[in-house]
Amino acid sequence: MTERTALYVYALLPHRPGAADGVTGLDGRPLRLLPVPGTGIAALVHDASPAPFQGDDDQVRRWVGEQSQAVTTVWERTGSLLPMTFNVLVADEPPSSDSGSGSGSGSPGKGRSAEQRLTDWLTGRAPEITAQLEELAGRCELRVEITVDRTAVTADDPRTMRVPEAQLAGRSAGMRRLLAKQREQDVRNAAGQLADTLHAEARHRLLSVAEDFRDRGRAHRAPDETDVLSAALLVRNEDIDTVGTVLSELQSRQPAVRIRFLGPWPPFSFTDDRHSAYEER
Amino acid sequence: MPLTVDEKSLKHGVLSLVVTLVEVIQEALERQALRRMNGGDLTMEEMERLADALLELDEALEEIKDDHGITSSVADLHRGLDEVVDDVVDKLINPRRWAEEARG
Repeated sequence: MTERTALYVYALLPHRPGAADGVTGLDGRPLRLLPVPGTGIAALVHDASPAPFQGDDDQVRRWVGEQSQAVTTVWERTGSLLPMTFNVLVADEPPSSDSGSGSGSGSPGKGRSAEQRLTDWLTGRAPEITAQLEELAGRCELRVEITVDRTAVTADDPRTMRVPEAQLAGRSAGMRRLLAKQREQDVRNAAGQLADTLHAEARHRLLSVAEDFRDRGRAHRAPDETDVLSAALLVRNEDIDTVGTVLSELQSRQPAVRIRFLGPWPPFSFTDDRHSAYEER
Repeated sequence: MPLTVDEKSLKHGVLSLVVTLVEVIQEALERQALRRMNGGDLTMEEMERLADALLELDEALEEIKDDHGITSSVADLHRGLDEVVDDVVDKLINPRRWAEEARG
């Protein structure tokens, strides 16, 4: 039984010889470009075993970090690429028992190599991949997370002052506890109302700068904060500073607001899922 | 929502679940009590009695959790329930992502 090999695919990109030089991926494996003849595109790959990478959470987190770092480095050199998700593997075709049905460059009985399979697949989809690469050229992804700090809301909002300290004096322990809960609920409600107002405004202003906008789950959770907005933005490289200005203005007008602004990254959230479908289990 | 129950931890698992559900009911009762207090349809004496009863329930739950060593598993379950609710709300307010998940 011959051992099958595979290609681990990191991204699809415009073919720029040398773009992967010196870049390493999972566990320090050196990356290379696999050019697709006649299309102007290439795949960023390294050789691998066909078995998916598996490990505990810390290990997988480390691999995903290495993959992300490698893709970002190459993206900075090429200005456009379509990142793949974790564990996208293209394996050699299993040897066929039917020698008459072989196609491409495979000899009778022997399946196509991983390189040939990937090249064939990319050749068939080259027009749409090229179009998407052009759409994303000169653009990046920014991640914005906006929250309201509830401990900062309490100070100046009259709705949170319904239970003055004097009202707690002389009350039973149960009553004091319930009134404290009420205060907590009032703070939460006030923060929620402020968050609703800010959400509409922040979304509107960010949409005026970004070319695309996707709601995303929060990466960071703090117990004393109420969510306002968590999104991935697709912006032109020259508009990154404008997004920063919009967020700074929001922060200066609303001191209770907390903003996390991450990126620029390759457009991980804006890559068509169809390009990630070539995954071998 | 992760809930691991094997033969050994069956008792703790079921107890954690029951206590978590009682905590959820307790929170609903507290919200209802506050509504009635703010609505002015309770006398001061009734309010104190209701508040003290809820405090006793809270203390009893804390004691059960301490006695059976399930404080952290109840907190995990409670957090898990909160995340499920967050998730549902998130899907309702983000129909685009909902559609993406359905397609995937």
